[in-house]
Amino acid sequence: MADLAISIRTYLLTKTAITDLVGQRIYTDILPQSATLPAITMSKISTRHEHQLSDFGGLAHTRLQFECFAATRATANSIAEAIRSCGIITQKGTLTSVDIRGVRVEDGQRNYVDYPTDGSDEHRYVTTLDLVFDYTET
Amino acid sequence: MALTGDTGNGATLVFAAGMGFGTATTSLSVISITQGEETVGTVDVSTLATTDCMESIPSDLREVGESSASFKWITTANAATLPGAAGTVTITWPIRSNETTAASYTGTGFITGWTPPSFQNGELQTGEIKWKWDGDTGPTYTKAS
Repeated sequence: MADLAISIRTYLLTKTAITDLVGQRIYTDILPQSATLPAITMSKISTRHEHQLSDFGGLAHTRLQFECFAATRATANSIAEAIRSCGIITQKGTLTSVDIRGVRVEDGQRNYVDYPTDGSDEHRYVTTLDLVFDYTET
Repeated sequence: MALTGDTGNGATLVFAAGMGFGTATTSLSVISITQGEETVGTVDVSTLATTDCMESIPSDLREVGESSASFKWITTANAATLPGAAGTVTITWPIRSNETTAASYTGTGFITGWTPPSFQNGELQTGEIKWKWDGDTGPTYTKAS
């Protein structure tokens, strides 16, 4: 079965509202060293599987966290808002081999600052957004 | 001595053909099974000479309460048609590694009700079904072997 996170990344990269901001820079879990900003990281926070008495229930729920990195707070927030409003919430059906049954915002925008470790004054502003995806599994 | 005990994972529920699901036996994708209580009535045999406590004897016949199960709703499967005929209902325990035949509880009964799923974001569609053991045959518990 296709990986949900890969499917979602593929979907987001089809949205100009997102690629206009970050290009192809949607990374898994962590930013590369000296990454060009703005950029997004995606992490799989948790997955819950439905069960019946004799087998899996055929439905799973995965929480994906999107961290939007930018040089300004406004840009970081804009990226998170672009993810929220790109149409992903209304997705239902097959998305790159994953049968999505529902999407919802589990936790809206949260802000924090990534402090520099190189002695510079160049903070990275991070806006976080969590979505939960319901999808069928075998 | 090794500790024993088991969870409900692996238990199955099967309704015979003709009980309202059509002409085939029906095995639901059960999520939980709640079995009815088996009881026997009491007969008061107190007399005027009875002191201290009422005296009782068991009645002649046992009674088995209504049982129910929740199951994953499959949109391509038949829903129950009521009223359905009585038929054999079989609940089979999950078999353990030292058993060749799982424990079971089986008898004739009829479906008394079913509930289609409610719809809620992020929630698996589940239905519920209820049945009454009719007492014609069983229900009987057979231990594992």
